[in-house]
Amino acid sequence: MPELVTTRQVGRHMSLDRRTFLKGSAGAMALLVVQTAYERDALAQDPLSEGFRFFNPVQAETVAAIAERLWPTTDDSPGAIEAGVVHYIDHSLNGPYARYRLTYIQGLKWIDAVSQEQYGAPFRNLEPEQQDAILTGIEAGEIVRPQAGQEDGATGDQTLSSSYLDGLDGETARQIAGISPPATPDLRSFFNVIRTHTMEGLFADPIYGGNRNFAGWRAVGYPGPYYVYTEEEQQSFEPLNKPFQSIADL
Amino acid sequence: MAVLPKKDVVIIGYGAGAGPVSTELALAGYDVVVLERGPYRTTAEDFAKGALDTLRWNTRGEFLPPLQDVPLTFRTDLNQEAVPTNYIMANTVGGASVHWSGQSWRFYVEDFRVKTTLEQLYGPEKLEYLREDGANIQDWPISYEDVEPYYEKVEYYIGVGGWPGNIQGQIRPVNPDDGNPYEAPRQRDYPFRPLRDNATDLTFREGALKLGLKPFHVPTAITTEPWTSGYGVQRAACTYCTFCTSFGCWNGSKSSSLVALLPVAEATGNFEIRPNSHVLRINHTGDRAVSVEYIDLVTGEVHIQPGEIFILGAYTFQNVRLLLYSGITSNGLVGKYFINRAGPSVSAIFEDRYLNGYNGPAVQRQGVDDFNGENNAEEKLQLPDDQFFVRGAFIGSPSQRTPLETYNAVPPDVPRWGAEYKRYLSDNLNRYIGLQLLAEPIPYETSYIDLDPNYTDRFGVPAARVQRQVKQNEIRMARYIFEKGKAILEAAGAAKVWGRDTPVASATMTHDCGGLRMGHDPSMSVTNRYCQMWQVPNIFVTGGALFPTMSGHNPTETIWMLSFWLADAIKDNKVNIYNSEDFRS
Repeated sequence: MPELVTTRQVGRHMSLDRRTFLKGSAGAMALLVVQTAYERDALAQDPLSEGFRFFNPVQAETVAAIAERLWPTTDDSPGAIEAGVVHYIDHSLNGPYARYRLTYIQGLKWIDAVSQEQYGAPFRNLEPEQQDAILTGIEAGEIVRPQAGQEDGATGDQTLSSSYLDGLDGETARQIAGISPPATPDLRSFFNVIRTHTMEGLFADPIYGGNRNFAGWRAVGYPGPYYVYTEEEQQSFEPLNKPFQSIADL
Repeated sequence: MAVLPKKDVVIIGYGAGAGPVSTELALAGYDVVVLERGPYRTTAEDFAKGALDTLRWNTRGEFLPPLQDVPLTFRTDLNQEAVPTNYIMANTVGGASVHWSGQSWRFYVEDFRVKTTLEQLYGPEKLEYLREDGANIQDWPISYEDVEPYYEKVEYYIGVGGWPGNIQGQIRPVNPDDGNPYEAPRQRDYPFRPLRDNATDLTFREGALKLGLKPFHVPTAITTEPWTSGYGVQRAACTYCTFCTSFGCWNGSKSSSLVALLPVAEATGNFEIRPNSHVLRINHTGDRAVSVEYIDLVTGEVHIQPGEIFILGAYTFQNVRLLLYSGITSNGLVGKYFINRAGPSVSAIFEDRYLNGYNGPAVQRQGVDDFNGENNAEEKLQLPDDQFFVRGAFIGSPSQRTPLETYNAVPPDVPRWGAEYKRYLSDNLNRYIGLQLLAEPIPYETSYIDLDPNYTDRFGVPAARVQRQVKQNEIRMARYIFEKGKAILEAAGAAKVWGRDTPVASATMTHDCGGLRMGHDPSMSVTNRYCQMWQVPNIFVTGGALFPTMSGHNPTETIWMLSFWLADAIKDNKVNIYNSEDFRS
């Protein structure tokens, strides 16, 4: 069980660490009690160690793996996992984005099935290059759904939301429509949803659970909300380098 | 179902359109009630304590219409079934005037007589392609000279700042402290100045000047100094916070019916606004409206509100839907000649400078009108026949480029995710300009709003269905305007320019106008020049639905203007609510 040691490397290879950590499940939990204080601190900084309201551990791990490929850790900047994106999505699905729950449940299942078919392992256990290949195929519409997914309860019951039903739960949509939503669910619609939510988790205010330590804003040079900008600031052609702040700091 | 006491004036919906007329009639002593389906959000309670939240107001769109109550479907192809769509309006007391950008224009003199202008400039042969496409362009039943005092009233009583370009026919030179030299003559200067220029504006201006164009800072309905309106409403100066388009202003600086007009109406004591009141139908006798039936969305109770005068103040889609569902069709004209935006897009990044577009409200912008309306008629006449088009577009340089609002603004050769995407945004997000290209649409016979046969709201009322096409004029204009925008950015020194040179028809491009066209001829229009319905003379219309044609400028100031114009027509007894007349003389 070397995974507790590697959790010290916060942010660098987080998805890999979490993968091995979670594989250990109960055994790993038992080991927590013998960690050093340093290790506990490191773990506390691991956003995936905090528990989730909607995702089960495997789903969280898969969401983390996808989000980390969409916004990877780079030399000088944390990736989506360290930025708390998984928590942002989890919190959102537990509230305002409840209508996307089935999208995630089905999409995560399908992406694992595709990974199994192509590489013989679930998505979270693939090499980054393999993960990228799958995401690229989905985005291009070349991977639509798993071969075995046709009878997976997904075709009759419209489980992936389609964009035009944004803002509606399934029941209301049917009530309005008087007919079933016509769109065919596919992995690309799931990809578009999780990509959008990943970017929200990076660029929304930290009060929503993502953008931790301003990781998203830091990466693109946005200081956060300010009530006032002066004429000098507004007419500058150089970076303003204002301190990062959140709505909570106003 | 309770029948409530009768009111002099019953107004359905409270946005830009309803604001002036309800305030003016209340001040004149009329007993006014407003039924607004949205909640009553206020600056102090809702915006001052949570406005600077892009996820809440912009991404998740807290103002956006609840589709189960006000559904909309859309199609371009009349042989296809329309599909439900989101759209942009604001479900709140004050309507879209609360979350708008604040770009505030008078229309041109020619904008009120497009038909006559085109015939004079180009002749029937040049315009043949428009006829083939089913264009139906009509002059307005009012002239700029008729309504100029009401534009002035908007500027001084609601609050619009700008640099003048033409005072009493004296055209101002091209100068940072002067305005749009193409603007229609104004009798009076603006009451205060517009927003200042920011780095994006200075960059755009530089490019425009290099091309010999006439850039100016756009007029803005945002107070830039502590200001007291003609009604005595005190307003604070804008602080340039940037949480502007799609937000309610935390500081009350952005002019809206909510901050500029509602307090005045409420102070009269004979004005009542009932929020969360969703109007289901207008009860009428064929040529006379008697009452409206509405549901209180909080209690679920249905009420009947009788009245003497009824004024439509909801968004274009809802005004049309309500009339059609109530069986008021004006011989099939209700809903016809819908127009909204469908333009190209141009974006750029600069390597030699940061623009920091995250600071600066969206409407803090420079722009040019050299290609708007018929300002470039001579150049258009030299175009080959298959590229010739009429009307045009304002081109401007918006800001408000925070990451959540801008992360998708990447060139087509940059991936949308992964390390390369991340690097691109890190390097370029604060070097980005995306232009506003405000293309004027043409009204067509086949662009209209009706009731959808397949979809209803939760009360069983059919959804509004929009059919909208882009035709030759839009396609040709888009290509031309795209090239002009691109040239400005290149002249300004852009390192990379990209965009789309084709228009896309959609129900979500805002500025949804037409559908209840005003005119002189009852066989070709829904209302007369005083916004009074020909068929039902005690129903009056406000909002962009009245527009026979659009403009390459934003519509809100004209919507407010028409509402002041309507208020005077009622107060001064220019109209007879028992008999709608043709006032052409």
